[in-house]
Amino acid sequence: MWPTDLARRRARASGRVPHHRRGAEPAVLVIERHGGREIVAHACALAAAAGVHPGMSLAHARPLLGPRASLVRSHRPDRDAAALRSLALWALRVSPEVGLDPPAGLLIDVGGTGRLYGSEARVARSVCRAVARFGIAARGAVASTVGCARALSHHGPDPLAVVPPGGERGALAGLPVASLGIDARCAERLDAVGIGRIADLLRLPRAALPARFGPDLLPRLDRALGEAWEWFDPVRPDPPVAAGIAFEGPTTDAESVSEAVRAAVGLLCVRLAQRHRGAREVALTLARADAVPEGVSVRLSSPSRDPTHLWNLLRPRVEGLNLGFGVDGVMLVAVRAAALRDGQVHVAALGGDRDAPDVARALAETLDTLVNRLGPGRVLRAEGVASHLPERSVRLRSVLEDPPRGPAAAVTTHARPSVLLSPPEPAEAVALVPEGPVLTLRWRGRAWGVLTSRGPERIAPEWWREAEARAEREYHALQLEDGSWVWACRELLRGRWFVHGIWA
Amino acid sequence: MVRSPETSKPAAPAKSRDVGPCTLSALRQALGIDPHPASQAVSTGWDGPDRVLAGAGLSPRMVHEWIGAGSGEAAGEWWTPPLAALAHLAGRAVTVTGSGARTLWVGRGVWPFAPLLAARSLLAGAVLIDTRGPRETAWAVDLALRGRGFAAVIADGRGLDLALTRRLQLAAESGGGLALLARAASERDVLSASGTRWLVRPVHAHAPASVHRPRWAVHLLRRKGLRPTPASDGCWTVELDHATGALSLLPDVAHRPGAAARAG
Repeated sequence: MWPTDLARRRARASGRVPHHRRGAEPAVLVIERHGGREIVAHACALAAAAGVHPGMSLAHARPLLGPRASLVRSHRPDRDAAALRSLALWALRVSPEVGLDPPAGLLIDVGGTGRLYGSEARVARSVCRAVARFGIAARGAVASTVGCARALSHHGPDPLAVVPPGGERGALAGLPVASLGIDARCAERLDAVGIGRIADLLRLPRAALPARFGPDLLPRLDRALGEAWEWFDPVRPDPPVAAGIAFEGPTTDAESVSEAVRAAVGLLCVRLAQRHRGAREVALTLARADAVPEGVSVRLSSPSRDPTHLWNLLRPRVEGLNLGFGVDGVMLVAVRAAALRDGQVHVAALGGDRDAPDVARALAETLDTLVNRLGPGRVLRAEGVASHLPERSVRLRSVLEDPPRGPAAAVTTHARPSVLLSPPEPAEAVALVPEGPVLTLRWRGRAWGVLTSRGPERIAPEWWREAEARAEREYHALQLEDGSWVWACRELLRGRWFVHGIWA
Repeated sequence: MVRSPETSKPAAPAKSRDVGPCTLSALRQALGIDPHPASQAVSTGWDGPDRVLAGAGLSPRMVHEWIGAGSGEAAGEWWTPPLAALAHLAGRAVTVTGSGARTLWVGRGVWPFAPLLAARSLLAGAVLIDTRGPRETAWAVDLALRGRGFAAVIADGRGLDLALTRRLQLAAESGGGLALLARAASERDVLSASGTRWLVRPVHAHAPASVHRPRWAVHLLRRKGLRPTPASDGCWTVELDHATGALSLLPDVAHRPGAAARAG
């Protein structure tokens, strides 16, 4: 199901296919082209239930699906392999040793993790559940040998099997011989003599196996039973991109150091380009003779590998560094990096036109300079929050933070002032009758005659905030005698008045 | 757009010691800046002001000062920048540049309440920065204008002296976006190198009591580098539309505030 699950995930992430209600999901077919024919390579469970099976032509499969919506994608083994690696990196949170079992398997060494999670079975269950939340159907097996766990997860009767130590022989006996991962020729030979299950294989004399069925079968059987070693290569996250320059001896010449940093920036950018990545944060470390290393880091609002830009950000910082008794070398590390596609090199400003990529780049560079001088907490973006309270309806977020996924909460435009006073300014209102129209507003040290009043608009805090659930307010838009409008509110509980905003 | 040379600008007092050799034209020569005469002006969306501004609108190669005079302003203790007008103009600049363009709001004082930005379709592209003091503000505005990444840069311009406004005017000449400075009412007569100076003050809406439509009188106090036109002491009345955040010009002359208001 791995290729079809991935195809569905990609289609959803691209936004072209909406999330479907349960029961109205499209059937997913992953096809391969052979010559002019389109052959179904993988079919999802829905399609399989309709009678579609791999190997069928697409023209044959379509009528079987009938009126059901379907999603047809071509098979991309390279992307699937990359996705498997990402999933393996994700699984490193469970165990430090995670291996790939292509095309659609992960090997996780859960030895010892039972102490952390309760039991090894529980680890396997939580991994399967988490993967299912990604929209990927998963089967799991826990066993003492890689071969046994792999065979059970692919061919076992249960979606999650746990084999106690020493139980491999019994667990494997009922499985088909293909679950050992043997090649097609060997499977053919076994089939010819009527051996279908591993139990049948175990009854044959050991010494005869290599001669009759090829050299591959016996080692696989031994490894699955735990009589021979099997290991896997664990995946490791890519080390961060780094570039360093070492000096022949310690130097205290600031200019040499800064030139070296500049050269290292160039080197770093070349290395980032090789990996199609751009730096989001760059850390510079000066190795100092007879002193602890000195370092600074700069953060970027969007990934970049432009040496001029990175150097412009680093230069003011380098000038402020303490060189101590001399610097042995400089080291630059792209602590955080993000994918950055190769862009076309522009012949800038030939026609004087502002190209869209140029503006985006100029913007990113300006933001980075602002952030690195003012600090990330002072360069902000505003986004809506689902709250009726005016002071809670906006959240300010640093431009360095990625905006949250999904649509932001809508911001009301319903007659709101242009400035929100924070904190609200206390005021006093005079009315002829209690809760009647306001005649005079005492605010900012003087009494203002009120010409017009519009309202009230009642705003209540969210009901789940119990402590303030009764702190409702009534907002009035008041036109003062000089013609300006203010947004005044009355706390219903205590009857206090505040001016909360101004139409300025 | 017609630009006359710097001779048309009001002569700075000779006694001011930093004016002498470093007038804008001298600085321009020294720095090798060529003031580009042809650039797309940002229409204010108001006929009257556009006609006075050589029929085009606000030039993106100038700094425009907007003075707000709101409630409690007279005491000098409180200051509210004319944010509705600034957001209106920022929105105009974004429509000229193209959708998705960014705006930069420099200084906590000129951060508008988000609903206004949302109504003006500026929320997604707005960057708010918190600067402390006129020098830092000037640095940030200078950087943003030269960086050419923003359609409009709106800054808290209180306390900017002549030298700093000159720096901003030079940055604006690179054409990096509409430069708007919000200034305090007390700074009405402060010297600056900016291109235009406007005053925005609330006016009565002679409307039924139930209508909530804030109105402002917009005065063009000063402009520089443009050929003088008869209607130089322009004054117009604009009205806020809550749904779009836009200010529309009221055609009715009856709404013009009286001479007393203009003298204030």
